[in-house]
Amino acid sequence: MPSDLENLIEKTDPFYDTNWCDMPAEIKLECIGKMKFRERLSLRCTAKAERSLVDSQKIEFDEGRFWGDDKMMSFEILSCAFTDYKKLIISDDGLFTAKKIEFLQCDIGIVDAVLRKMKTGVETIKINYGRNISHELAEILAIPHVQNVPYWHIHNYEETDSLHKMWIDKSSKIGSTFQVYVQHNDSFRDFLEHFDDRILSKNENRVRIRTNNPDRHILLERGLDPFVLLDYEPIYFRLKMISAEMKESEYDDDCQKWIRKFDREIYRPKNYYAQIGFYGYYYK
Amino acid sequence: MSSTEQGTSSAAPAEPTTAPESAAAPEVPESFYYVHGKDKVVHKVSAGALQHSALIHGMISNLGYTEEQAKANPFPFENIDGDILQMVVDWCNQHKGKPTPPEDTNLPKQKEKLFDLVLAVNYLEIKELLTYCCKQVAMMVKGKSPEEIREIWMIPTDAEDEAAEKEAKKRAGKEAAGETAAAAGDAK
Repeated sequence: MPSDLENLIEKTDPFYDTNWCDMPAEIKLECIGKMKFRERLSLRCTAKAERSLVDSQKIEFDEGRFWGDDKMMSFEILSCAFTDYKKLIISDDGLFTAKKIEFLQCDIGIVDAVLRKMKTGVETIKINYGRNISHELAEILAIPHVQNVPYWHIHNYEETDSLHKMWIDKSSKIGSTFQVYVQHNDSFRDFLEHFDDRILSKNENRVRIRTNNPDRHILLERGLDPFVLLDYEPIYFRLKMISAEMKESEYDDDCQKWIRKFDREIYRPKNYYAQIGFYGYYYK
Repeated sequence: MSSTEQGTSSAAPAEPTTAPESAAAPEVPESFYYVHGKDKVVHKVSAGALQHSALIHGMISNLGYTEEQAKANPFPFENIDGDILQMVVDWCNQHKGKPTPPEDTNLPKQKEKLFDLVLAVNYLEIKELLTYCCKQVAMMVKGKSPEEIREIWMIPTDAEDEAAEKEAKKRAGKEAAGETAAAAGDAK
C-alpha cells in the first residue's frame, strides 16, 4: 500500500460480532435518540451505565399527560430530561423543564411533587383542581423555585391567607401576577383583613398594598365586568406586583383582558349558551 | 492481495448507473475507485456513489489519483468484514445521486450484522445510512421490557459489571506484579 494511502487509513479494531455494549457512547446516544419514551424507560432500567446515557438525553413533548387513578396532569409545553413517572415522587429533583404547566383535576400531592421536580424557568402555572386547594397552597408556595413564577392562576380558591404572605415577605418581580377565582362574594373583604394595616389606597375594585420592600406594592384588583354577570357569581381577583412609583393613572382598567386570560369561555357570544341548551349564564 | 474486481455482486445492483443527463450536456466519463475489506475482495465503486462516505470522499480529494492509480491502489478497510463492506457498497450504489428516503427497510435484521454495519458506517462517515441503522437498532427493542432488552443486547447487570471489573483489576494487579518480578530477575 502506498504510504500516502496508508497515512489516510486509520487503524482500528475489526468490527466483528459487535453488540450493544461494544458500541461507542455517541452511537448509543444516536440510537437512544430514535427510541420512543417507553423504550428509553426500559433501557434505563437495564443497568447503571445505560441509565446515565438515557438520562443525559432530553426528550421533548409538545404535550405530556400522566394518568393515575382519577388523576391527570397536563403540561402545555413540557421538555423533559426525564423519569419513570411511577417513581416521580421519589426520584431526583429538577427533572422537568416547562414554560407553562396546567394541572387539571389532579391530586394536590401530585401538583406538589411535580412542581418540586421542575427546574426554574416556569412562566405560567394554572391550577384547576376542582376542589378547594387553599389549605395546601401555602405548602406549594413555599417551594423556592416556584415563588418567582410570573403568572399563576387558580380556580376555586377560597382562603385568602397564602397569597399575600408570599408577596409581602418576598420581593417578587414587578409584573408578577396571581389570578384566582373565588366562589363567594365576601372574599374581597377577606383579602383586605389580611392587609388591614398595609392598605395605601382603596376603592370598590382596587386596593393598593404596601409590602416589606419599599420599592414594591401589591395591587389587588377585583374583576367586576359590567358586561357579564353569572348566576353563581365566581369572583375574579388579580394580585399584581407593581412598582411603588406607579401612578393611579397607569392602572390597567381592562379587566376583561385578564379575566379572559383566566377563563376564555366567559365571553362567548351572547346566544352561545342558549344554543347549546345551557342557561347557567346570562348577560346584562 | 487477491483482487476479485467486482463492480457488483449478486446482492448489489448492476454496474453503477450514471444519472440521466440531458442530450445537450457533454458526456463526462465517470471515475471509479476501488475498496476492499477484511476479505480482500475488491469492489469497484463510482465516485458518485462514494460521495456518501465523507471519509472516502476526503481521501479521494487528498490523493488525487488517476484512474490507473486508483485501480492499482484500492482503499483497504481491513477492519470491516467483507459482507458488511458489500452492504455498504450496495447501499451507496443504490442511493447514488438520489435523495435518501425517510425509511430504509433493507437493512439487516440480524443483531450482530446490524451492529457491525453501524460501526462500519460510523467509521466511513456515511451520515444518512448511520441514521437508518440507528433507527433500526432502536426498532429492535420496540415494546420490550428491561429484561428483554438486557437479553437481546446482552447487557450485563450492574452486579455482573462490578464482578467483571473486580476480576479485571485483579488480573491487572497480578500482571503488574509479574512484570515487576521479571524486571527484578533481569536486574539480578
